[in-house]
Amino acid sequence: MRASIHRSMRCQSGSSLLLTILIVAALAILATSIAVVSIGDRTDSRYDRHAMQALAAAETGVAFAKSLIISQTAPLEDFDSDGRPDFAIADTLDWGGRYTVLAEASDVVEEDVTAFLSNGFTIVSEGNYLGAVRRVKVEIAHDTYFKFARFVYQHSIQFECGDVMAGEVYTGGTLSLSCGCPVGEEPLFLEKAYAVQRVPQADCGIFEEGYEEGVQVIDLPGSLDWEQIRDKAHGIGSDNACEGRGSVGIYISLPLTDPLDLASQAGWDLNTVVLHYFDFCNTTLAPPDTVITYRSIPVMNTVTGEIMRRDDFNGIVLFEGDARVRGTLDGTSAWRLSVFGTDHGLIRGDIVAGHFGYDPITRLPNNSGDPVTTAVIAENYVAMDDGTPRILRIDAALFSRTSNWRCLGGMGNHPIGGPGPLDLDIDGIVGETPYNNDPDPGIGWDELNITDKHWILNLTGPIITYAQGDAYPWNAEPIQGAASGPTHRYNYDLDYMRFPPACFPLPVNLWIDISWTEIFEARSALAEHLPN
Amino acid sequence: MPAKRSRTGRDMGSAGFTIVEVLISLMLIAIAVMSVGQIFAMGSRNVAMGRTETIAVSLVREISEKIMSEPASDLPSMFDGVDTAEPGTLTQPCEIWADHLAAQLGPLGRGRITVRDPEEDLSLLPGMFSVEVDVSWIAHGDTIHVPSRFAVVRMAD
Repeated sequence: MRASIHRSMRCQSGSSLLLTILIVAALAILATSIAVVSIGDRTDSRYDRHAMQALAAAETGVAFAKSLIISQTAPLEDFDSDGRPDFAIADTLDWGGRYTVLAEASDVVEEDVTAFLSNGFTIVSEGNYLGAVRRVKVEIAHDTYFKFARFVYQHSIQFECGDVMAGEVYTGGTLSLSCGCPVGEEPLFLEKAYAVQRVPQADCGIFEEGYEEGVQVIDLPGSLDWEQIRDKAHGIGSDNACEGRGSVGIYISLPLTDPLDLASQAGWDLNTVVLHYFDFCNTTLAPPDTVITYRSIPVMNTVTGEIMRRDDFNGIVLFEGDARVRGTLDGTSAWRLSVFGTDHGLIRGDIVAGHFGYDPITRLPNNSGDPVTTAVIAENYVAMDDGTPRILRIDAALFSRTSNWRCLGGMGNHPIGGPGPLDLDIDGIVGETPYNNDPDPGIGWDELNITDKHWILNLTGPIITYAQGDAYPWNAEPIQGAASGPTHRYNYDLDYMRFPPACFPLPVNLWIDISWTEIFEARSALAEHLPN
Repeated sequence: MPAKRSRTGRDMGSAGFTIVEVLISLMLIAIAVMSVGQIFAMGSRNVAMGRTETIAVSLVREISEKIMSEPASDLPSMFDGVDTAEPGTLTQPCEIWADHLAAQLGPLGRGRITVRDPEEDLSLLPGMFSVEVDVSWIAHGDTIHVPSRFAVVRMAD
């Protein structure tokens, strides 16, 4: 028995130390694990902080790039020789971190991105902060003038009792309002109003979406480059498309260059583009192509020397000097075109915009299809010409780069309009009599029996001018005193946002964000994330 | 004799050595347990710190995204001078954030926002604003800060 105990004790000698070492080792492993896990956790959270700072640095880089684009001071180059302007900037931030940015002009195509499809920028930015790297990709595009019902670059603007502005309003000066209007007749702004200076009588009007004073100046004169438009009309620019469509326009320099033979239009229409003389749906003249005719005569493509295919037309009709225009764009004559005049824009009669749809058998417009829009764009003023009738309907965006919109001729220079039946309030009901119930039942114009008292100027579309406009004589006191209804109305049409006229000028320093994406791949060259 | 010597010597020796072994073992285990305890406490602190830091980062992100979603021209009036420790400075867009901050960091948590224009921050270009968001809290007597600073630019509204 004793021998057995001795044997056992001999076997156990040193085993407690061994056991202890095992326990200590286990505890060491446990401690190491805890340390590793906690340190890892701390490292993760610290990296999270650094990654957040890296993202902030990337965003800061985007902000600097946007600022350079907006102020038109970006150091534009073309480092990848793809014909699109681009630039690169990089800097270390005072508050830590660093950004590297590449930006390139790009085609931004997005729902509700309209007149500026080829005028966006893609910006890719990389932020670094203590080893953390984050990348973002941002697309911006020019904002549009079409959101403004009224835009006056330089001067102040005054709104009267009863004025209703359905689009945004901008003035480079002060936005003034008539006070003391009857209840319900206060100047009404359904969208936001902006003034570079002040809105001193703000309490006299109703601003549904508010107003903003002291806003930055939007560069109107810089928005239109005549050389660029001229090149597009000739089809010789680096990019001749308007909103991605077409490759050539119609260039007119009377009397020598007269591709539409306007000189042969005798009388009132001499040298005037009459819009409904266009046929953009001729399928018989050069099958299988759909080609363009004007007064049934083919319009030639000055680049190819062949009949101009409809798809080749970018929508620019450019006059050197004064542009004269009137007519209807509807059905087969419908196209989103803009008439440019390097001097004045003279409106010689109604400009009516309808829809693209038409009956294939009768070829008459049938009010189907997308709406069509048009514009009259001039270096100098845009005017309702002397001799236009007293009842005038202008469905067009008006743009004057250095002047205003106006009406030429006094009260004796505009003949009686009509005859009826007409639709003077553009409510779709023709020939309302004795009143067109506009704005209240029992009053308004007689749309059937037109007299010399009928003075109605209906302007539908944004009016974008350097200076104020004037509706005289439509707003003359004797004419308004004898009127049965409103003598001049400014209507706003949202169709201009979605279906813009061709190559309408862009507010070059007014941009909107289109998209923001994080790039989760940080090893490739930054330039690889720019569009091809 | 040899057997006795052998028995006595070996038995006595083995028994004494075992006690020493046990004492040494106990000492080693005690040291190890203390060390592990300290490491465990430190690890717990680290994990708690990391967790709080992650929460703070998410709070900074939350308000940063809110700020970036607003028109830049409105930032000074909406966010400049906001300090969750001073309820009077809270603007409407920051109220939910302040609630989140209080719920997640407790009464010792604090969030501050400073918006600077190019006159105040000379590194900026015209039309830009820099925004500094700082979330802080007190842990073990120390004030821990998670700051973030970025720039935005005024675009069309």
